[in-house]
Amino acid sequence: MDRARYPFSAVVGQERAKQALLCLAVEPRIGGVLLCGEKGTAKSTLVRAMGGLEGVHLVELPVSTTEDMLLGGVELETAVRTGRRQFQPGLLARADGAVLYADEINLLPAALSGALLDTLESGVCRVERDGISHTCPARFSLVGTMNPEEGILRPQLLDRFGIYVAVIGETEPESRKEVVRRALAFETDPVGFRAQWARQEARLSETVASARALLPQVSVGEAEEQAACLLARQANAAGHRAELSILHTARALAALAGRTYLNMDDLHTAAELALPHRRREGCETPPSRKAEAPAPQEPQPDSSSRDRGGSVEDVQPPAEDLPPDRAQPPAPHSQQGQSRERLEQGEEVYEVRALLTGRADRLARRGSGRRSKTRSATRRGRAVGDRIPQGKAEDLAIGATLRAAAPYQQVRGGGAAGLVLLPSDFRVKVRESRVGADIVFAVDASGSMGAARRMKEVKEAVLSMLMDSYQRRDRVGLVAFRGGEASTLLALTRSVELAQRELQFLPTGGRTPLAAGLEEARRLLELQRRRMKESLPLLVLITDGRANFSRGGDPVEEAIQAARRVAESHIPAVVIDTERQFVSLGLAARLAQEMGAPCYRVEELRARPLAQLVRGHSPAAG
Amino acid sequence: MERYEYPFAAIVGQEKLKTALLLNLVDPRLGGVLIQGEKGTAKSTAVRGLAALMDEVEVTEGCPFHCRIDGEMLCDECRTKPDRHTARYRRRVVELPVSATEDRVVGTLDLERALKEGVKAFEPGLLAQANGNILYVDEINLLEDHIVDVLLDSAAMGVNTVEREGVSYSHPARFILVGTMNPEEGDLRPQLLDRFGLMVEVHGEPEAEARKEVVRRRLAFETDPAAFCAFYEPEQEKLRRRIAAAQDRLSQVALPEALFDTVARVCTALQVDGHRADITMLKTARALAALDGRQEAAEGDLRQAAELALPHRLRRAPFEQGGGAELNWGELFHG
Repeated sequence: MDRARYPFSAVVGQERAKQALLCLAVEPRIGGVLLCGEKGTAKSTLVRAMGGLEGVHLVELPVSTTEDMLLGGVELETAVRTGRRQFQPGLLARADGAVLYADEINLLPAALSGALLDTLESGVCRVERDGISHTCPARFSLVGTMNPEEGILRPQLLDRFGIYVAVIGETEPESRKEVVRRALAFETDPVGFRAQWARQEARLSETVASARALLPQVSVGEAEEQAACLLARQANAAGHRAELSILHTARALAALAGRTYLNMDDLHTAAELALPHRRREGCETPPSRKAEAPAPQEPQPDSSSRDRGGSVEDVQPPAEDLPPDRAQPPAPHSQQGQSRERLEQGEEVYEVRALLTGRADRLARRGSGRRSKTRSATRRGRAVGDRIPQGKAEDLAIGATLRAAAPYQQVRGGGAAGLVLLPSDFRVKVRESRVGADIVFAVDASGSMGAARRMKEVKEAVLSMLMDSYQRRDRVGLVAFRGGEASTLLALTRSVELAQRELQFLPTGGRTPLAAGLEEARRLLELQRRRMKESLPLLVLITDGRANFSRGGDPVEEAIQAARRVAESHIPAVVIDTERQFVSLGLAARLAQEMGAPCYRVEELRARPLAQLVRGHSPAAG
Repeated sequence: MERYEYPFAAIVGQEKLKTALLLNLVDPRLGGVLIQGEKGTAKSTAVRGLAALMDEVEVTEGCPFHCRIDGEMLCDECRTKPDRHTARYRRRVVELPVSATEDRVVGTLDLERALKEGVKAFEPGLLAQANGNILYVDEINLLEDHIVDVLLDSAAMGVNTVEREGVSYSHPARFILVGTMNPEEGDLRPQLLDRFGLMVEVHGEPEAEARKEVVRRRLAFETDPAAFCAFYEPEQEKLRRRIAAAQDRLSQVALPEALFDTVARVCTALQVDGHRADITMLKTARALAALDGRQEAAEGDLRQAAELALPHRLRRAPFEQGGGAELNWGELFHG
């Protein structure tokens, strides 16, 4: 398919991203470039434009690719005709010597990204399927683009990228106008537009070609190696890939500049390209040359649960987990006051969310051995591969079944007049679907909480969780307990709109039927699990731990019983203790213990966000 | 059996919705429409009614993607074939049911040919049908994630690339995406939201008189669809001519420099993500001027365009109600 390519040189701004892609074109050993940024910022346009440069071969990895197509398998037609199993190369093999482009790489199913990783690491594509065993070279460099709003990237995959660039839209009105003007001009007359830029494109292709020729002569001495190590260490980067990436990138930069030696600028720029995703810092704030010391490592939101047996895979880089708001450049002055206030609220709310969903995800993965992407036994989800069925063959994988049958057609008397299929040929689809968490807040709305403010905060948390959890597919519900009863204020939903409407009026005051609140929350989650087998429940109890109302027995004892039942139902939980008095009754902690849940004090949720906010959004930092 | 669609021209009220849909016929690259609203508010009727307003075009005979004879984006076969025969093709509304499987949407291995002849051939899916047409997804917010991913990809690129079931294939898939949703049943991912050029919220007609008229016309249509359609045919024809004239005029409509300034100012002030909003606002203003028979887009067009192109792209703070419906446009444009 011929597609109208936008010229690389005609992309307005995005100098960092352009530089990164050119470096990769010159030095494939950089491994890969990841462009991470908000929607509509020309990420894909830029990468696809790169394929227009001479000497760059771009192979695209569509999101709907299946495993067999990625790796390759038996060539159907030859097998039918001759009975011979001939290897049909997959996408990875076809990408040998090329640049493989995965748009929305964070949405790639685990099965695919796993195969991608293996091949990227070894440079060899190994296929063991359809009765053939085949190995072929697949040395490619990888370019990924992603929108962090849509979910995170697996850390192992993230680490493979030599270069990371946070892409943001143009904020200067003049450049914004230019973006629009060129987009309109290109759309109106793509051929004419390309002709206009042909000279710049040719020059750029030439630059890349001569840089490639020059690259082997660019020497790296001990001093440069030391500098790279120092830069990597300053950034707290884990492993040795960081140093290598810096050096590879710096050499490419020197070659692009027509030099055979590195200078300090090359190394600094290379560090800015190679380190953002390796330092434990926000992905949206790339290291600045002005910043003297590397930012201190962020405290992990819940190291406690990690200590309790989470594997390496469970650790999410805080990078992509940031709320989209933080990717925003500082607001123009006229708006500053207003937008800061909005961000403050958003940040605070976000912290709660990070704690909770982080935990939900971890639990889910620990439980099933998978991330939030779950192999599903139903016919839902996307087909990523195929397998030999156990029992009855439902949900047939047609291609795989035919490939299995093909080599036997000559023996079975099948062929051009029709294939002969046997049950032993049947292959069924392996599907993967994204499963979100089902999160129920059980909130103390009694008088003892002084509860109006607390309820408002919870409402904010519910809404903000709904708002930036599209990709996670989380559902959120809210149970309030007060007076004599616990009531569901919001049934599990994904709708911001609905939550907003249902939570307009939040009743508070009265006594605390803690046990009833826990029971109601458990009931909601149990119900959901019955409806959807793959549901990942999480109960969030927000209370000061005073139980002073019961259906007869001792309120405290009843609450503890209810907590035990939550644990027995295998529903993970988190407790947030809102008690502010000096003398702690400690019931919240006790309940947490019964549920095997971590217990946070409300101050813990409060202390950090402001500091982060100031660091991330003060005009001085920008 | 002849099936009648309720004529577009007979829809009572819903001016914003109708305008948004017509604009997409005038400029097919506008990016489609997302229609939000409750059940029973003429959403589907309006979208399906577009079919009767769409033009006939010249395409390659027998091409499963109905590549235009004079088109830029051609499938491999049309691009390499020396002499292509021309066929007339009426552009249409292709519906993507929420239950559609990925195979059905992107296309897959042609099973029949594979079984009968042992030959590997591509069987086009809904995206192939949608090329050059309107792709209509009712209740798009209920679509499975992975289908949405595929839609996003094709909608952005105008190309459907298939790597499945042993077939590697890619073909043009440039379509006008029209989706409807009831926001109470869950939200749409922001990424998909941003791909929609325009967004309108529809509500039932509040006026008693208008409501009565809605019912009256509906009953008349159900009683005798043929007569009803015939009655509205002159108005439909008028609409068709208006669209055709606007299509012809579109490329000549001038966009004064001041409009670029306004767009940059408004989008910067609102902190809209990325640049799609800027681009869509100007294109919408241009299409509005064309539909109105003018040679130059004006500030008023831009303001109307903003109401269609911006609300779904605004960041929603957690505590604000709804989208940007209550934004003060006047202040924004002159502040």
